[in-house]
Amino acid sequence: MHPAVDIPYFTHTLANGLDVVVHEDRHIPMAAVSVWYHVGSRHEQPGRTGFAHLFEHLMFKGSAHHPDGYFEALQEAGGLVNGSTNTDRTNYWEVVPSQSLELALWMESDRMGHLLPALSEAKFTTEREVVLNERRQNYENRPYGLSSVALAEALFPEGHPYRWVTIGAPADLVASSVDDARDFFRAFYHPGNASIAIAGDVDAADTMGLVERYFGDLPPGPAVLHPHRTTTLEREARLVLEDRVELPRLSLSWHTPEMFHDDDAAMDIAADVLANGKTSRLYRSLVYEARLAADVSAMQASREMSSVFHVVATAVPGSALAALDDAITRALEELAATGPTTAELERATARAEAQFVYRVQTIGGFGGKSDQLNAYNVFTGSPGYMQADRERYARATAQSVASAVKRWLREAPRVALSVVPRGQSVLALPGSEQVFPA
Amino acid sequence: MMAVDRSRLPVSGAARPFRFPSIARTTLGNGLDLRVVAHEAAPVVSMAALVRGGSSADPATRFGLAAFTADLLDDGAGSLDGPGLADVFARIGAEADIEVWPDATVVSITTMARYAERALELLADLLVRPRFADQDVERVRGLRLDRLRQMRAQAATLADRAFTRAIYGGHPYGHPGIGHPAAVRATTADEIRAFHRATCTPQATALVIAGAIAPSRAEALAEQTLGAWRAPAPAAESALASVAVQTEPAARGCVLVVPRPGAPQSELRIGQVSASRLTPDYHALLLWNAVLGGQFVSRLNLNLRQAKGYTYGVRSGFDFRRRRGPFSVHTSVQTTATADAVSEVLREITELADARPVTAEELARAKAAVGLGYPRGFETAQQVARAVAQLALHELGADHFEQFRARLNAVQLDALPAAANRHVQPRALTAVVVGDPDAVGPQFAERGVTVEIVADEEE
Repeated sequence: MHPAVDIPYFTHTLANGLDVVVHEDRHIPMAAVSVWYHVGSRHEQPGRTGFAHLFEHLMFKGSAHHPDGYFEALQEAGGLVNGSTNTDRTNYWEVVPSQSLELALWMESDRMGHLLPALSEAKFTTEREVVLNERRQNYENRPYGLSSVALAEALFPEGHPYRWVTIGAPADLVASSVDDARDFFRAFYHPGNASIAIAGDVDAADTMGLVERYFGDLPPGPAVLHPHRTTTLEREARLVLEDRVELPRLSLSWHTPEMFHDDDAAMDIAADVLANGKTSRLYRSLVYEARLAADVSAMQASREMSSVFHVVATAVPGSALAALDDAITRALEELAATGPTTAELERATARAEAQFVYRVQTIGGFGGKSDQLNAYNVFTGSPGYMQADRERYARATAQSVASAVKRWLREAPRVALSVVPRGQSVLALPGSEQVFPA
Repeated sequence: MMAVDRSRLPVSGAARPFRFPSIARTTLGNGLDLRVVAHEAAPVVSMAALVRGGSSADPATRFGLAAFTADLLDDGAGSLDGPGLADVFARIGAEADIEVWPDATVVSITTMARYAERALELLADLLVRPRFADQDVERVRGLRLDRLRQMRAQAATLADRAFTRAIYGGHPYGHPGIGHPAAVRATTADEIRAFHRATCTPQATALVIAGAIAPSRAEALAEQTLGAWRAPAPAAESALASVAVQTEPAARGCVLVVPRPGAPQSELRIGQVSASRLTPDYHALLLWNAVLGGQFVSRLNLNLRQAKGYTYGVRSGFDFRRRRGPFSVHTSVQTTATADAVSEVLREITELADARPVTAEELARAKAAVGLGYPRGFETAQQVARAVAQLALHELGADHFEQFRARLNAVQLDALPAAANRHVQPRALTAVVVGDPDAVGPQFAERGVTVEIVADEEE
């Protein structure tokens, strides 16, 4: 393995529970700040879905000592600033000229410790409209956009924390109130449920001192209960969703093990062998040779409690989803029986190894080094988990991939979702039940 | 320990110095423009071959020819077929990309530094020795027609297409890179081969190599892999090549509605044909746009998103090209606010031209926002390669990056209105709405705004 993809770091935990990780990289005169809160949509309650993400928006609306203009102050310093929410965590980041590191720390600490005095009903109401528009833009008004909603509802039983998508149900968003936001902040937004990573043109010792100064006096919060629930499907679910689309699409999904599990890496490799590029088995059979599909993809969507493996293919005009299903099923049977060839395994591990290198090219933002350090720290407890993460791929064998495919994709039921043009449910896999996702 | 002063934000110190990439420039014997940048941040090398032409070189009866041709480059080249190429790319962990811009086709490969030689050999195969086998042409034709069909369901694509056609008409920038179904159906394998022969030549190509590689080695590798490339003698002048359209863009100044019955939102594009990359107003326009809608905190986003909650976001921008490129505002808004959003955008642009010009404070903030963060664009080998490719495309000086902030800071407040008025005229703006006609029609009617219903093009 290439040693250059190491991310050397210093780490420390403040008395109030805040984890701090610092990495020096002087290539550009910029500093990246990444703050992760260990809260995502899986910490929400049914009936209040979408709240973790809506709350992320509120974090940019101002805090007690800077009640307006979070974006303004950082933008004027030449910084980039953003955040994101998924099922398991919420992250916030700035990439600023290094002389403005303190500005970013001031702002992150002010909203971690003092958000609520600046949170008004008016800010809440406007931001809720913004989020409802985000949902319409990315789900309702996008072809196949509601697939993820339908799949989550079919894969997970009532009350399961992965049953809803992070953007949430519009009705739940409309029903939420600014009081919900206050409760949410008190429960989840405090140093004991957070981790801050700083990477870039900084001095590690000075930076540790700055973090202590800005965050050290924030009070620790209540212990956070992280839901942990796994599930299995009892039987196959066949669903059809009518949408504003031109070509029918088949999505097949299975429950698979959580991120950092050995079989999670094996499923990554299986996805590569099945559908990554022109050498992959499904691309060759469905797109390159037979022209049954316009596209095909496979992905292991890794998450903290458990993951989902997806195979998605779009039919060309005149080709039936059942034919795609047959071809995919055959490919999975073969992979479960004999595993990847030597060439396939070499390609997949070379690609996985290259991705580790590409991921350490930037200091911050989505997926840069500060984000990586936080991901490892929050999900495994060790910012230096990258070597162990990489070893999972080096350890994978034809046999381990075959066993994983057999166990998780062949011996377990799946959800088969057909998305078809409106009024054409007849194009779905036979026996599909129509769904209207929330 | 000193307590934090929360009564004010900390004051930032002076910007630390940054050395922009030093570009070693040579021309190979065959005319290929070679630019090499040593960039040691990660064990990665990124290379980009920029071939002048792009979708604006499409013949009038063959819209999409440049993109169709480019799409086939990695479908078989040299001794390898498509899957064979994909196999080698995977084994060296390479990410290969082929893009067709309005003014150029760009073939780029990023890989581990230790595989730089292999990657450059593959890049040379793609540029010089593509196979264009008949069966690959037919397969790719099918894929492109399927994609064109799927695009009919994408609101953003419909908006882009209608907007481009409305403001450019028959100009070389007036059609989407992927082209039109009829032209994609009609294109022959021989036309593709001839187009490639005519357009992909060493004289038309700039190659940028950036990353963890010594410039002398990069130059030697480029000479070894591409030094013997000679432009083939042009075949008999193709009948297609001579009919490229050259009409001047025409501004329209109206509201066009592309019907999307039942759409849950309205997709908007508002703009006009505007400035080329080499305009002397370049830096002034960047600053003017930062104030209007070029960043999160801008007049448009503060109004439409932050104050009114009409949208998840709105942005404006100039697409600077070799010829006059489009200026456009793009957003997706809730259906009930469609006409209001259009009139607010027009009002913001109009007021920037008269009632509420850019203030000194706004200008200072825009200079800081655009200038201070500038080094961020030179972090990875890939970013550096792309930035240098832009210099080649627009024939900009090697000191462009070094001079950028000084030129930005030299822009005077009183120069802004004139610069903006030369390139954006509020009355010439065309608005395209992709939305539910029954819901948005009455909104415009109430305001006395005439709208024209236009169909998505089906050619």
